[in-house]
Amino acid sequence: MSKVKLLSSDNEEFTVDRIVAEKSILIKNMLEDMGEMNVPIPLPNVSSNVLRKIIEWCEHHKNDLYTGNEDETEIRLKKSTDIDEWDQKFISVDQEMLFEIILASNYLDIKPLLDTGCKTIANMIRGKSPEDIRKTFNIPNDFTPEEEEQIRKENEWAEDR
Amino acid sequence: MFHFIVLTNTGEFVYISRNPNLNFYPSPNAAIPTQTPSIMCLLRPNTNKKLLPDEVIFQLFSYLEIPELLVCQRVCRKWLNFCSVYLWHKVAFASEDSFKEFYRYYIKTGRLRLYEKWIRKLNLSHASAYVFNATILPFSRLTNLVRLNLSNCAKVPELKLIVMLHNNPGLIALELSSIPSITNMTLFTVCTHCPSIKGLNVSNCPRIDDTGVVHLLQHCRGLRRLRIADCHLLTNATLEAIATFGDLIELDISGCFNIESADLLYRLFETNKQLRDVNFSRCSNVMSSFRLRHLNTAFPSVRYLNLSESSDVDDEILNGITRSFPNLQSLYLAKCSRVTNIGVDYITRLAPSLTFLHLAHCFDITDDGVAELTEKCQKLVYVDFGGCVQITDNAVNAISRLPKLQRGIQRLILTRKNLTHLSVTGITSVLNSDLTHFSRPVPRGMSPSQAKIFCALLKENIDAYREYLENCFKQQPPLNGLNGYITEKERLGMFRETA
Repeated sequence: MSKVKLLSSDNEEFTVDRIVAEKSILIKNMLEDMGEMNVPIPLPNVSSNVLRKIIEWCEHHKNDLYTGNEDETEIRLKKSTDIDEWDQKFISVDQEMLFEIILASNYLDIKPLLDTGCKTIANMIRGKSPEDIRKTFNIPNDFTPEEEEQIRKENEWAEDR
Repeated sequence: MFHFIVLTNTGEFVYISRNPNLNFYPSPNAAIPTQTPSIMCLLRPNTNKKLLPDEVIFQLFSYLEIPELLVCQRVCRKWLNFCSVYLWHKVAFASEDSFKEFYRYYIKTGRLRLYEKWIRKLNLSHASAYVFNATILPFSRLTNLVRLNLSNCAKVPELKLIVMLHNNPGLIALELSSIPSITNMTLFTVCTHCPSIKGLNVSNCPRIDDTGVVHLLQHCRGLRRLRIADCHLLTNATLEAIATFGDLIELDISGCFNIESADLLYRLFETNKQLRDVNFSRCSNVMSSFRLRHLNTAFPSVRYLNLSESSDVDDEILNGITRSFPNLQSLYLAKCSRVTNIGVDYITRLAPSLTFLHLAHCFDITDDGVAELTEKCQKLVYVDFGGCVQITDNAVNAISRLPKLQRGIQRLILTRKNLTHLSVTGITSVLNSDLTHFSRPVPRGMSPSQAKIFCALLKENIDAYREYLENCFKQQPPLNGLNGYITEKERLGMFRETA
């Protein structure tokens, strides 16, 4: 099986099976365009500790068939926030690492991992008040109290829908 | 997705992807800024940590449900905007009261202005009694609509409607049935201002005549679904325009009794090769071409054919129809009282595809016909022999042996975990005490005879019935092999977007 070399932002080199590396659509397209390469592929947006984690995920999922071909332009709620057991364990990391994984999977274009990350954050949001959410994610409140009250009042209507 | 490779003068390559998902990411050889104005601050704003890009945050909200989105939109302005895309995408009212509430919170206060740019689908048809000049006024500012449903809003003045059409050039589907004020002017406006229109329903708009529909068909080349039922002014000129048009997928001219040219109707099938759903019920004499011709041409794309209350349909015409439409899935022949067992015999030609069959008030059908039908058409999931006074218990027994009827519903319930509504009202063949036990209460205003055959399950009822079935099947596992089919309700769903 052919191998691919990846180079993290802090210049650590990783050698992985091509099938593992191709879980990243970015790398897959790159390999298709360039053919076999001996030079390591630089990933200047991914540090070694994150890349190690991403490779772990790709190793585990290397034989999964990618099924996410839904129409991305359609705006709709996906509802399901189920995460499979292995992924759940995998993603049980501190918030900083979680964001790093999401960022990297977005950059590397690994849709199923990005989904898992987003679902995890969605689960963190579930059940929290706006104030809790602001605290968790450190978001400044840029509403005036009147505005917030107005939105809250309007929600009363929407909740009945 | 576009991507290209840049070789730098030092021999390194830089890979730049133009995947829309990656637009927020700085290009690899640029100095990586830790914060850019377009990236939302999800982490501490003052640390030099990386931040989640907007489109990731946007995607995040797609995993939340409406109550959670309502909370999230109170977090900050940016989140308000993101959530609004999901929350305001479709504005539909289940009742007049919910529209009144909406009116009080959003329209009277002028707050709708904040959200109106997100609204892409608007459905006021279930609140029609409260839709009039003043209440629809705020909606005339909307500009991003792709679907608009104002059916039954009888008090809407045509001028208001025309303003809305002017403002929404992206409209794809337009439902305007039973609005008496509508004239050809509306159709002309669709021609000039809604170039993307694919589905149009102006059924029961009695002032529309041939001029409007012909003009529409000449100018809206993207039209695929047209419903003009009960527009009594329409004549053969309309039919001629349809026969010339060529690209329709769905056509409903039921009750247009001034359309009567059987020749044109036949030609219509020859030109509109893609036609799938056809409703000619309550039309007179239009099917006679299928009697006269030596039918060599088949129209394999037609799946749904409704000829209810067509007095001319007899066995001989059915002979032609079943040859011409070999792939029919649904056939409606209610009150076609000239159909006999011979016609039923012709219908059995459709056995490989036929799933819905309506033969109510076809008085001449007897047990023999039913027996033959049920023996050959094993795919049937819906049959109606209401008013067929000659049939006896033997026929009922034959029907009950249809493999998909009983288990169909159970299979549907067991496999479609997301099913939120199921109505089998009046489908006596699937009604049994088990199922009706789980029905929601009979709505007010139903007559006792209607109440007797009422059976509709909401989400919680369906879940309860599923649990019940699962318990039953623990002792006796259900037969497999009945793969998911659609409910008639889904099949008839209004204006599904064409692929």
